[in-house]
Amino acid sequence: MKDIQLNDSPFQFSGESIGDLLDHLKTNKDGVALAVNQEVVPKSQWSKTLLRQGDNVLIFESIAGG
Amino acid sequence: MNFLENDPLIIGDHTFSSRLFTGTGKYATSDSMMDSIKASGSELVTLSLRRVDLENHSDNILSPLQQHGMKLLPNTSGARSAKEAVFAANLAREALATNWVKLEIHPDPRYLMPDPIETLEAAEILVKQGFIVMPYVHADPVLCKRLEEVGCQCVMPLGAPIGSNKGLASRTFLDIIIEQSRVPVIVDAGIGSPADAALAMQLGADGVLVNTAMAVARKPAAMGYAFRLAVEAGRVAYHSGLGEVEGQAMASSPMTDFLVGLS
Repeated sequence: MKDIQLNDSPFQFSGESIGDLLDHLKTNKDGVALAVNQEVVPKSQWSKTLLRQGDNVLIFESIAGG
Repeated sequence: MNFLENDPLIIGDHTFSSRLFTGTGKYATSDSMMDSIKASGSELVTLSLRRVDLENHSDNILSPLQQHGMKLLPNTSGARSAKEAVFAANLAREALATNWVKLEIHPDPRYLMPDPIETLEAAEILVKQGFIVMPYVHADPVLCKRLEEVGCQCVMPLGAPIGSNKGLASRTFLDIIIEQSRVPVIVDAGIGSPADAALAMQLGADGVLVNTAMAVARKPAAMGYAFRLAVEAGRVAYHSGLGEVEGQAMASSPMTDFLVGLS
C-alpha cells in the first residue's frame, strides 16, 4: 500500500503505475490529463510511470467551457 | 451565387470554412449544445479543464463533438498567472491531443478581465513550446501587436466582458486592431446577439467566438443558425464595400419636378 495525495485528498493505492491507478478509479481516459508532483505526465508514459509513497497526483478532465 | 467561396479562414495549419467559433459552456444539455453547434455551422469549439471529481462522474461531452469532426480548442480558464496558464496548456495538450490553446488568464473573478502582462509572458513561452496560441485579450492594439510579434497565430480581443452580452463596447479599438493586424482577429466575449456578430464581421474581423448568447437562448439551435447567417452576412458586407456615412439626407430617388403645377 502506498499513501499518495490524489486531487488534494489522501488516498491509499495498492498498484504500481499511473495506468494502474486510472484502471482502479475507472476514470474515462478520453480527454484526461495527469500531473505528478506538478509535472505533466504524457499519456504515452502512464503505464511506465511508477507512483511512489507521498506522490502528489492531480487528474484533470475536459469539460464544457467558453 | 455563393459570395463566400474562396474566402477561407486560415489559422496555423488549419483552414476553416466557417468564421464562427463556438463555446460549449452554459448549455442546459449536451444535446442542445450539439444541436446549436450543428445549426451554427461552426467547425471549432472551446473546452476547458477541471480537476476530476472522483465521487461524481461527469457526462462525456467529448464524444459527440469528436464524432461531428469539430476542431477542439482547449482554454486555460482558471489560470491566474503565466505559470498556471503554461501548466494548463500542457495538460490540455495531453488531454485533447492538440497543440492549439486559447490562452486566457484572468485573475479577477468579478469582471474576468484578461491580464495583459501575464498573457504576453505565457504566449511567448507557449509559442516556443510549439503551441498554436490564440490569446484572449483586451481590445488593446499595442498588446495585440506584441502578441503577433511573439508568434501568436491570431488575436482574440474582447467586445465586452465575458458573458455580459453587451456587444462591441470596444469598437473603436477593434477597428484599430483589425486595421493593423497581420494575423487573424477573432472577436471574443460580449457578443450578445447576431447583430453584434454581423457588425464585428462587417468591421473586418476575421471571425467571432460566441458562447453565452447561443447557449442561453430560448431556442439554442435556432439561435445557432441565426449566428451563422449573421456571420456570413457580415463577411459578405465587409467585402462588398459599405457606403459612406453622411451628415444629411442624400436622395435615393431622383428629385425631379414632375409633380410641379398639379393641384
